[in-house]
Amino acid sequence: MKPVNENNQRPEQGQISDAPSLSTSSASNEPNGTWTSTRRGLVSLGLLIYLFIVVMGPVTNPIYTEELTGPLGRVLAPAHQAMYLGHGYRFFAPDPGPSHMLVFRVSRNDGSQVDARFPDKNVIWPRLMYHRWFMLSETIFEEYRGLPPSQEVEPVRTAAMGKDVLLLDQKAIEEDFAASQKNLKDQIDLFIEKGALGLAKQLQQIHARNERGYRVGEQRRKLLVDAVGRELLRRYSGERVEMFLQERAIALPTDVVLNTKLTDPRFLSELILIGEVQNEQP
Amino acid sequence: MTRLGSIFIDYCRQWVDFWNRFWFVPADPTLLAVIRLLAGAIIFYTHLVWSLELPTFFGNQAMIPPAYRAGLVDGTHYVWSHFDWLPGDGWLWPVHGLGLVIIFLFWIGAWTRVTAVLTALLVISYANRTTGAQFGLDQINGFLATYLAVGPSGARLSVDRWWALRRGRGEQGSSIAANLALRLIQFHMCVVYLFAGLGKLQGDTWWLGQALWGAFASAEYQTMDFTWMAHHMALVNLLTYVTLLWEVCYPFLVWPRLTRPLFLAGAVAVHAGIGLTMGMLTFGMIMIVGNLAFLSPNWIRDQANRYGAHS
Repeated sequence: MKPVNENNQRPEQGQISDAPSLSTSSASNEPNGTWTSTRRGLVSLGLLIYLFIVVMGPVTNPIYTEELTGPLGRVLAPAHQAMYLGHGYRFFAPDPGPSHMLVFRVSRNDGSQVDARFPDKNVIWPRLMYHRWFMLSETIFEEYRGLPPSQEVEPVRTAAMGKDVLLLDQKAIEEDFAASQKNLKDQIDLFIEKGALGLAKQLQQIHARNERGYRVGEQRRKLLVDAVGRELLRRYSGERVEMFLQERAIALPTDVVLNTKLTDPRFLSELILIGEVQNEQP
Repeated sequence: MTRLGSIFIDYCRQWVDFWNRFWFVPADPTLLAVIRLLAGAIIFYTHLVWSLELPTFFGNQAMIPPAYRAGLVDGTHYVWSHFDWLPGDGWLWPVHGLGLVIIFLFWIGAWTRVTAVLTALLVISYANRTTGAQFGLDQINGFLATYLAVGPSGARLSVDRWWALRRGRGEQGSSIAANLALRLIQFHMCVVYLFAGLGKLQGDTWWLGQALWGAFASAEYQTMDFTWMAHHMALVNLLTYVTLLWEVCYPFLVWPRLTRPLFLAGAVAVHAGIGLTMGMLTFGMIMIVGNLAFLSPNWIRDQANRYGAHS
């Protein structure tokens, strides 16, 4: 076999080469110049496995197939998690969307209140830290995405906040979930009846995963909101904090042409109450 | 059959030759050292900024509790972080301080073989602990730190190199490990752009040529006012399409010599634009640093020699 570096020629100065190439280094560098075929073979095997793991990250996240990439993603999850790979890399995709904020009201023992929100460019510095809080508010929103709020505003809180406040419609959330699970169950029964046991098994797995995801999702939301609430109480020396999600829509070009500012209140959605936390410290 | 067999074997040989030429030729480590210097600075800054909110994000009562992370990954527990092993918040500052020292040593290229590996582990550990407060910067930091630990990133432009010169040791020349590290960065950058581009193809606003307006008009992201573009929507359309085309084509056209300068220039323009207009300067910079892996190692070495920065 010919040496691996035989075809490698130094490019003209200032020219960008296709491949990194040999420098005009001294003879003492010779041992670095070639690897044995065994070593190359072993490293190649490792490389192929690693590259597969890298590529399977965005192939399995955020979308995957039930039959192929989903199961593969679950097998590779430990590697993705341990090496911090497995990201979807869908930056600003599929569309740059609206922003989501956590609006909160902290009430203190002396009767005073603090109304604030995060992220807030005027408060959080430097910019990198601002982005951390911004990503946190987006994460909280993601946890609540798709959960229906009530159809009517909650009058007491609406009066107190000076903005429409909606509550999460827990009954509707549970009914929606139960209906979709029942739909799945009906399909499973139909497949069993028709003898399509493979498909039935697949749907049973999805059914079980949905069930687990629903229960874990509830716990996860509670853990996150309670932890954020505790931090806000600590930060503002509060006794009680109410937390709301709010969305800011992106202004249309025509809005801007008509001199409407991006921060105009009409781009802000109603507030959705996601949690209240009481200070348990003595 | 024999003729078909020999054609097949010849074809396989060509693939093996290509594979070997791609991964297993030695490369000068100066380019890797340049990437270490720049990425090291950003990684150090990323972790230094955590100091402002250390207990809030890393303490026992952190806003993102470990139990939440466990639930997020469906019961698997490989999202490790050394902060989870601390017995109490009293350890937070010493451990964070030690981490910063290690990352700083890696940045300046001191004991780089060790500090590079430790830095890669630290970057992963910090990111794992703060699930939910991360963005692209952390993902790119993660794989760049890993690949800088694979190759001899401290062989040049480093304290290690300076020490070696003082002790009269010879120069560490080109190595296959340096090439492997650069190739891994190149490959990973292509994966990032490929999926970022494919993801955008699913979005209506990218097809409608309005996606960049969404970026310019986001009150939460905006750092420079580009809303005057509302009067020039044709320009917004054009910039949106160019950005999309650039991103989707990047994984294929960054390799040929003819198109590479164009695509690297595009990367600088796009990421500098994101950094300046949307306030994500660190993310913009780390993406540009990742793109440096496509420069010629020999050209970078010659520039370093020319400007006397060989050590």
